[in-house]
Amino acid sequence: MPERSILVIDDEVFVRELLEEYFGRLDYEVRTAASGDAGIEAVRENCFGVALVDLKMPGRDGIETLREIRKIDPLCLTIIMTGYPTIDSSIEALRAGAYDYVIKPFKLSELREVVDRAAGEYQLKAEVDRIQRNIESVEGELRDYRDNRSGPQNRQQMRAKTDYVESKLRELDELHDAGMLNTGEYEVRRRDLLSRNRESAG
Amino acid sequence: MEKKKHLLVVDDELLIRDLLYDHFSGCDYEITLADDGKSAMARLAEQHFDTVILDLKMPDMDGLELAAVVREQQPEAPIIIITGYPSVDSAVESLRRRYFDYFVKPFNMKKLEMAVRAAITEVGLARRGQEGVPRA
Repeated sequence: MPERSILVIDDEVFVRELLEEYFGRLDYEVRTAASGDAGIEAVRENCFGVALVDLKMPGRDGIETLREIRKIDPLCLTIIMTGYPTIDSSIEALRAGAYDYVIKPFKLSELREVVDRAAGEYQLKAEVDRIQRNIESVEGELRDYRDNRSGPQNRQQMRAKTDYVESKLRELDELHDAGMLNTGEYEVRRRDLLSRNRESAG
Repeated sequence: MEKKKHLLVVDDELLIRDLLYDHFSGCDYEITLADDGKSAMARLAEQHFDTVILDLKMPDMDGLELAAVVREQQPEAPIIIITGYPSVDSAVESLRRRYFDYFVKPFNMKKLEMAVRAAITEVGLARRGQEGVPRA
């Protein structure tokens, strides 16, 4: 269940171990990554409900990592953690679509509240997303059904049929003009051909 | 012709109101101005706004308080905070409440305009998502 799976991205091994143990005991499945790049790799390979991302890391920082995670998996909710809160980084986190911005040191129980809430929200979002995809697939089937009646393949068949009817009409005209078909019979056959044409168009 | 997008600008500083009014009316927006929380609430009760831009520090009311009223009365309207007194607390609170943006005065007017445009586009996309995108 992705909503129970957490990714912790922090360059400090102490934080990684602490959160892994704490959330592991709360029945979350926890994966850790020591850098933004490693974390992004993990998001590419797995589905996480929640990502806890340290702001200040060597290489790709927390905000850049957050942006990348949102691009790869827009459903994953990302929480920025930092021991160095600033106005700029909190505004950047807002703009990048962070779920929360928590300041270290934090009480584990407080972080748990945030993570539990995020996991709940993820579950809802994932459900809405699933329903949305279901609707789209039903709509797709409906479209296919309609297209099968007048789709490209069928249009070709229709054109062939129209061509056939037209050539037969020309033959009828020629026969009638040549006096080989009386007008009554000509009219009946003509009407018959035209109605076949209409059927295939309808 | 498409209806003009309507912005509510709430700021107690006349200079800021004038500046925003001039800029956004020049970009074909309809603007309603309010100079405090009370008059902003009166405007909110009267009509729908496509985006609300509001100052955090006003004489009669805290901007975050007013923002909560906006969210309650017009849940779809994106909220953009503008403030001369930024703080981590108010920025984080804005993040948690999913406000659209947070600008520190003095700010670049063009950037604010882009934020307004992005906010309105996002609402439009969300609405279409809910109703199902019409198909050709």
